[in-house]
Amino acid sequence: MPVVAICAASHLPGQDLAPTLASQLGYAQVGAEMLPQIASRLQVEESKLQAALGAPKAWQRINPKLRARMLAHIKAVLLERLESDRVVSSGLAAHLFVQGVSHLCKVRLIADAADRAAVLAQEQGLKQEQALARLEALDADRRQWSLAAFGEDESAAALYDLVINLSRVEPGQAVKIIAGTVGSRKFQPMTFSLDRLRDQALASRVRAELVALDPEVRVNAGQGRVWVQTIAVKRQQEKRVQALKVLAQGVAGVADLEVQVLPDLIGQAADTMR
Amino acid sequence: MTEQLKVLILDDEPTVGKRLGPALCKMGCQTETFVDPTEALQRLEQTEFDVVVTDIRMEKLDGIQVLERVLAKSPRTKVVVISGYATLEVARQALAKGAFDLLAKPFKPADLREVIVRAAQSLGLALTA
Repeated sequence: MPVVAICAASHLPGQDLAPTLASQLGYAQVGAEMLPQIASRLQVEESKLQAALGAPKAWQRINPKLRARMLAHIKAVLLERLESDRVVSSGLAAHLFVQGVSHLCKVRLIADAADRAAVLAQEQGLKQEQALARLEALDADRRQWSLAAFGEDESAAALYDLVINLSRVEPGQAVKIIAGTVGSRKFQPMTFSLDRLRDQALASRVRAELVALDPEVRVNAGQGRVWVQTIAVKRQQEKRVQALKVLAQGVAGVADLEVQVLPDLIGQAADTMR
Repeated sequence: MTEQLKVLILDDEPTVGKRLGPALCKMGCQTETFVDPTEALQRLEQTEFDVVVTDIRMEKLDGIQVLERVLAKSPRTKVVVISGYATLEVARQALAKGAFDLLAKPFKPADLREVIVRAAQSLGLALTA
C-alpha cells in the first residue's frame, strides 16, 4: 500500500489532520511517538531530542557529531517503519529525506499567514502584527534548518505531490483529497519503488551504526549490496576500513559490503606539518 | 496449469531477452523475445499475450508507447516495464498508463519470475516461480 508523509507549517488553524487521515485510510500514524525509541538508540534524553527537533536554533547549538547521529537514527527508525507499509508519517521529516519512492505521497499543509498568526497570537498572547513578524522569523528558521539538515527547502512546493491551503480548503475536504490521491494508480507500490525504499532503509540502518565512528560517512545500498565511503589520513585508513566493516557486517540485510576509503588530504597536510 | 502463460519480451539489448527468455521458460511460460519494437507490435497484432515485458528506452518506440498500444488492443494483458533509467516520474507515468509493475535494471531473473507469478495470479492462472 502507499505511504504518506505530511509536512505541516507551524500554527495551522484547526486540528492536526494526520490522525484523521490515518484513521480514514486504516493506516498507522507515526511521528513524535517514535522519539523515545530514537532517543534510546542515541542514548540521549528524550527531552533533549525533542528540544533539538522543535526549534531550529536549538538544533544549531548541538554538537555537530551528535546532530549527525540524531539524523542518522531518525532516518533509520522512520524508514524501517515506512517499509512496513500503511503508514501516515508526520513531523519527522520523511518528506525531506526519502527520495524517489513513487508510492510515497508527500503532502504539504499550509494556511494564509493571517490565519496562522491568529493561532500564534492566541497561543502566546501577542498582537496580530507581532505574531505575523514572529511567524515570518519562525518560517525563515525552519527553511534554514531543513536546508542545513537535509539540503532541501521544506517550503518549496516542488518538493511535494500535494500542497493544501487549509485557509481555503475545509479539513474534511483536505483529508478526502489526500485519501483520493493516495488511492490513485500513480501511488500504488511497485517492485521498483519497494526496492528503492528497502535500499534506503538498509543504507540508513548501516549509516546509523557507522556514524559514531565517522559523522561524514556515506552509505548507499542496492539489492543487499552496501557501499560505504569514508575519508581518512593514510596512517588510519586500514584501521578505519576494518572498524567500519565490522560494524556494517553486523547489520541485518547486508549481503555484500564494499568500503572505499578516500585520502584525507587536509589531515595529511596537517600531519606533514607537525 | 492447463495452458501455458504466453509472455512477450521486448528489449533492444539482445542479451536481456537471451537471459530472461530461458528463465521464464523454466517456470513453464511460453516466451517470445524481440529486440525491435515494430516487430514486437506486429506480433502483438496477431496474437494475444498474457504478459508483455518491455524496456522503456528504445530507439524506434519507447516502452510507454508499447504499453499504450498493448493495452489498447488487449486490456487484460499485464504489461511489466523494465528500465535502466527508472525514476519516480517514469514509475508514476507507467502506473498511470496501466503498467502492472516496473522493475529497475539490473535485476535478477528470480525478481522477474516473482512478478510474472503475480501477473499470472491476477489473470486467474496458477504458476510458481
